[in-house]
Amino acid sequence: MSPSTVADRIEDFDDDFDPFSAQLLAERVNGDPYLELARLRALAPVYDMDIRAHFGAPGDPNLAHLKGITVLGYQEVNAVLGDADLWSNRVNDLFLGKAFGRAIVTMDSPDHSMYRRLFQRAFLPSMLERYKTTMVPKIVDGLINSFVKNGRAELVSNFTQHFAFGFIHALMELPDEDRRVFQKLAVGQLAVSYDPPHGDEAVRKLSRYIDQMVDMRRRQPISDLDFVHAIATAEIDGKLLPQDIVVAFFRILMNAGGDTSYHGFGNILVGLLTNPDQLEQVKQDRTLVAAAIEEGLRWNGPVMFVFREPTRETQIGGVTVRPGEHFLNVVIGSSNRDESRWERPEVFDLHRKQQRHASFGFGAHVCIGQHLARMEMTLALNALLDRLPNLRLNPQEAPPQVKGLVMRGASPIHVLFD
Amino acid sequence: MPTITFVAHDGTEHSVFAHNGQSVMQAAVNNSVPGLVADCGGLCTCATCHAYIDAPWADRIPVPSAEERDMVDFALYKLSGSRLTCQVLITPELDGLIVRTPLSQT
Repeated sequence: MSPSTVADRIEDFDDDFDPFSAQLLAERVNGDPYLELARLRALAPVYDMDIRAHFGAPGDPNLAHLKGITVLGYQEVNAVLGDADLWSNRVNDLFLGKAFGRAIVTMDSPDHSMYRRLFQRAFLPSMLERYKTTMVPKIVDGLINSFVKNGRAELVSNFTQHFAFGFIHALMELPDEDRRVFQKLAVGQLAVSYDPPHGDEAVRKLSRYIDQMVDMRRRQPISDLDFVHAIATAEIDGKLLPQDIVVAFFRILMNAGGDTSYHGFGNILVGLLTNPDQLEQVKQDRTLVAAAIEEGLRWNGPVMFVFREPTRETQIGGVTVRPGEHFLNVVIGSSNRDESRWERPEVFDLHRKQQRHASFGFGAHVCIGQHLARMEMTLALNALLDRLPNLRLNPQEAPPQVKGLVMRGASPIHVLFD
Repeated sequence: MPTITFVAHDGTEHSVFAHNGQSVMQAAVNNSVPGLVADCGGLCTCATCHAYIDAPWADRIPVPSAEERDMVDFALYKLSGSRLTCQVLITPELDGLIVRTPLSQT
């Protein structure tokens, strides 16, 4: 029998499970965690406690056999992220591995560097020129068109929630009718950490769909720039990438590249809109766009912490940690507000001294899509400022806030414009 | 201690003292030289420490590895003297080295 050239349709959850609201509910925490993190940081840089347990958020059952250690100080966070030999990513395999399969975030070298080298070609600055001229502007303009005539909008549900996912859909050239369920299943995979039956269902259904798509597009690209074809036919030492590695790459893309940009960009908008004097400066002088983006990501990055585990017994910040017994919550959000590095760190100030923040991570696992993310956000912010004159918060509505403990994102952003 | 001068795209110069054996990138980052980001910390995986090393200095450093060449190919504003500075180690012969940094790393 000849191989099928028509893909099966993507299959939705059997019931009405909504992974978007379920995830936020699972990560709920009262109040602003940064106040408590500042209090803790003033006393010690590292704590023998799990950050989620400390804030009363549910833990991940996949990590229940290990004890969490929480790393808060800039120096310590930087040291951990900068030493991939001592601090392994393998702990991510216990939960991100369940959700996404053999993705590079679960690997150490030599596997990590071998596979990353190959994937990162797709994300390097020169490749982005292709996406920058047509693909991203088209998505951004299409979204703005849907509300530009109204004089008002809620920017989370009408813009930030869609712009980064839209790019990934376009990059993968997914059929329009599959996109909604693809995004739902992609986000639903993370339920392995809070609702295992639904997590397993998402993993099974999305893996099957992507596995089939990769096979078809490996044989036959559907366009000149078929990104799926390029990844599926990439070779290491003359051999094709293993299928499970290719499938894992596409399973994690929505989360690694979509969720992060969605929340990160929303947080930047909150920073600007709640500081109207700085918003005005950016409107008048677009060379400040880059600083606004970096400051927004420092002030409120989308990812509060990442995970590592020790490869041998060692000490960090006076706390002893052992392989097989402990894992680290590496709190990049806390590092970004360390008073020893940033003055008045709780303040959004795009004029502050430019220094590297940790929101894209650092070291061997530094965000592979960081250049792409900056490009997307730059285009998006400029487009919003260009097309929505006198953009400002709607005073009739509650001002937006950044919320959450694991993923940090904006509450509804109600704006007015002329 | 070799001296390295970094010349930004706009002509601004930063001269720093470097240690033999460290990378040009490390010398820049340790001295807060603008224009070299070095997000991966020197592992030849992010292309954010891209800069230009031209004649006569180019002949005094080893040719790039295959890995470095792969990465440099994808950097923005690539020119004939393009290198990833995390891969260029400082030796006594490099005293006086001039490194030009590109318009942008991102």
